[in-house]
Amino acid sequence: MFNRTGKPKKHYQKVANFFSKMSKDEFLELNNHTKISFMYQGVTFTVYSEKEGIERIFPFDLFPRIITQREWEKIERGLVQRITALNLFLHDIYHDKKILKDRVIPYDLVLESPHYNKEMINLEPPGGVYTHVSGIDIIRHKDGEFYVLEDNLRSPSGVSYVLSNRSTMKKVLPNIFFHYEVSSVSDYPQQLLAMLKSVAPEGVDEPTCVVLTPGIYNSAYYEHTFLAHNMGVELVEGRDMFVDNNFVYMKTIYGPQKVDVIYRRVDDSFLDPLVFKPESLLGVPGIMAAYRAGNVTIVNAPGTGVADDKAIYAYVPQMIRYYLKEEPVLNNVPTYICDIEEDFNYVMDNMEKLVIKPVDESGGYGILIGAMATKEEIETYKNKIRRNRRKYIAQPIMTLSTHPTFIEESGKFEPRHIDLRTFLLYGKDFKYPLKGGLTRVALKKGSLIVNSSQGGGSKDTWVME
Amino acid sequence: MLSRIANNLFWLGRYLERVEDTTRFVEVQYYSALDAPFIQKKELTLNSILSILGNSDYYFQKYETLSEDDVLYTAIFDRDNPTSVFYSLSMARENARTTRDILAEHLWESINRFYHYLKNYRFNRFQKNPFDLLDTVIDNCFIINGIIDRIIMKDIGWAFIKLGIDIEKAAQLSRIILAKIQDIENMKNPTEIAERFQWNKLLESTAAEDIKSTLDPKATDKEKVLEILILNPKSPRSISYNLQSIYNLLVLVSLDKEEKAGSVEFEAGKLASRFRYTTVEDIINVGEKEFCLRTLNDIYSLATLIEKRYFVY
Repeated sequence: MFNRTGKPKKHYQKVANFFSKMSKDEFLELNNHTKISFMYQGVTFTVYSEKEGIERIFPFDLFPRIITQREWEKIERGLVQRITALNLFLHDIYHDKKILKDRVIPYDLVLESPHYNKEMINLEPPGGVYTHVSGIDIIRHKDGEFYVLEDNLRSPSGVSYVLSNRSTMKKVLPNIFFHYEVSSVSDYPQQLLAMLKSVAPEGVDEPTCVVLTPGIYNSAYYEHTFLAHNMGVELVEGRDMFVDNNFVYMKTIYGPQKVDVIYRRVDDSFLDPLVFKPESLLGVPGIMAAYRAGNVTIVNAPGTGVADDKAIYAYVPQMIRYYLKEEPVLNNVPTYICDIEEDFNYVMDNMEKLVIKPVDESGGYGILIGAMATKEEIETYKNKIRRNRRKYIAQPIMTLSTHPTFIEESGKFEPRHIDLRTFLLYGKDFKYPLKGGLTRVALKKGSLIVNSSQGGGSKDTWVME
Repeated sequence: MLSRIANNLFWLGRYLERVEDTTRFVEVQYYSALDAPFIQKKELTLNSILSILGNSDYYFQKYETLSEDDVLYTAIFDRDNPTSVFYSLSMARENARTTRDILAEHLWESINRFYHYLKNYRFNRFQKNPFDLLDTVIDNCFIINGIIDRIIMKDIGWAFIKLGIDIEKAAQLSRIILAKIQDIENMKNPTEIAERFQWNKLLESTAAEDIKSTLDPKATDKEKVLEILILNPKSPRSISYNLQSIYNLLVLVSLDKEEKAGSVEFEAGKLASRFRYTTVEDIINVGEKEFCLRTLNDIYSLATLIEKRYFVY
């Protein structure tokens, strides 16, 4: 936000002025008001401890993050390019496997991934789309460039916070919006619905779309209700549906009603107890057979997890060159794949310079930041890598950019590290990048981990028109 | 609409109504005991509150004696008591939470805010001034009912919430009348004043005292009260009124253009008509206690029919 002389950059000046004119008490009152507003709206997640679940609001910082039009234009181009390539990749690895035969990406890395879903082999998803909703995380490094940190291609969450952050921000600080041309985010649910309709099974003109949730105890339940409510479609649980003769129906008060498109927020392995985990109560028995018969669309397609594996991530630039014959618009963070001998040796010798991550975990779990670890921790971690090299990758420590953030304990604005989760909808002849996204902020001083489950908060994110 | 959602909306309505009815009963009993024209008023009152909660066993497993604090705590705050006001409100909120995607935001927010208010209310603050809390609870019920009546779409979702409210209201009316009949029996040869006092309190605890005074400002007697609370077709605080409303709602929900014998709306219509053509004399002839017990049974059977028709697969 600041330039080299320590003054706010041009596009931040008005916001900075606005907050500097406010007394500490005035600010605290607004801050408090904001928290209560989130609590009453029920924009909360639940932390389970001892006897009862405790509802927490997702901490929200009133100081917005601003992205200029020029910066955004490049991000947007990069996102579309990346998702286009990833979709071609997914289609390829479940059909001809050209990219593997041409040895651009190692066979084993793909075919032995736990997320490579054999049910998807030779299956043609409606509209040819695999990753309908993706959440690519982007950071800005100290060189001023944007880098993709990871691709979330299964069921990325957070978009409801983008919309409720904005609506709260407008209520709390209306005046500030008059000084800026901020891109609206409110259209997202309708765009999501349009995208879902675009990938309906062939021959269905007026598709019935639903959101499938694991239920009220899921930490993202609020988001599921939010999306269903704003699209005006049913929010269903697995037990609300059944399969008959390879068609999916939901149980309504007037009898069974056919379902055509399912935006599922249930993991692959819980989708269908007949095919995946037999003990799962969250899914619908027979749904995969209905999907294979082309009678229902599952969004995102099963088996996309193989493409957001952190080891596959390292190959996305090659995918872009291979399928699109283009140079990647967005940078990748250099990645060492422990499964490769040369990389493995480098990682073992340079632990303290690297961040080491398990390839298939989310939420910021299982990560080791070399520079902050003790010798003992590093030794233990080295052993973990040796035991299962396929499971780990390493990257140089990227210094996420910082942004002024109000810190309650000190009562002051202090710099904190931030990233950006973007949201891209991708359907049949349909692309919609949400202008903005969720700026996540690591509230712990010095921390680089922004995940909400580990002390992260968020900010409203403004893309300038 | 999903059957599960319709079921949750129905229970949202039932629990909401239970919050209001229980609170109002506790409030009126509690304050009336302060200057009641008979002895043993405290014991009678506390027993009366326990009887409307419907689980005295629960109370006496936890406490040895009847005490004001313990009874009020059990009735309002006790999270483990499935008939406490807080429990009902939590369940109303849980049902609202599972149907949030179709609820009007105003409705969800007012329920959620209400829930946080009661959850954070300290019992020792309540002990100092019970009126503050009881009154706010009832105000909140008015606000929520106002939203249900005046803000949300009068569609299927609304109909199921409303069905829950009206079924619960009709059932609670029967239960409250039964509780009062029991109170009077427990007084053993009450004076005329004492009995009239009880009938008046019954009207108050159903918020029907004003309806009574507009109808007949003269002294209250049993016949008058039964007429107002059971039969009066214009009073929203009568069983008959609620049964008629239930019938209308079921017709709205049904896809059938004509009522079929044996359908749930047909059965509801039959029950509502029976009340329209019943007189106070009929009730007294059967015996008011017997009549209310039968009514309660009929209402619960109707609820089971609704469940079988719309909620169960």
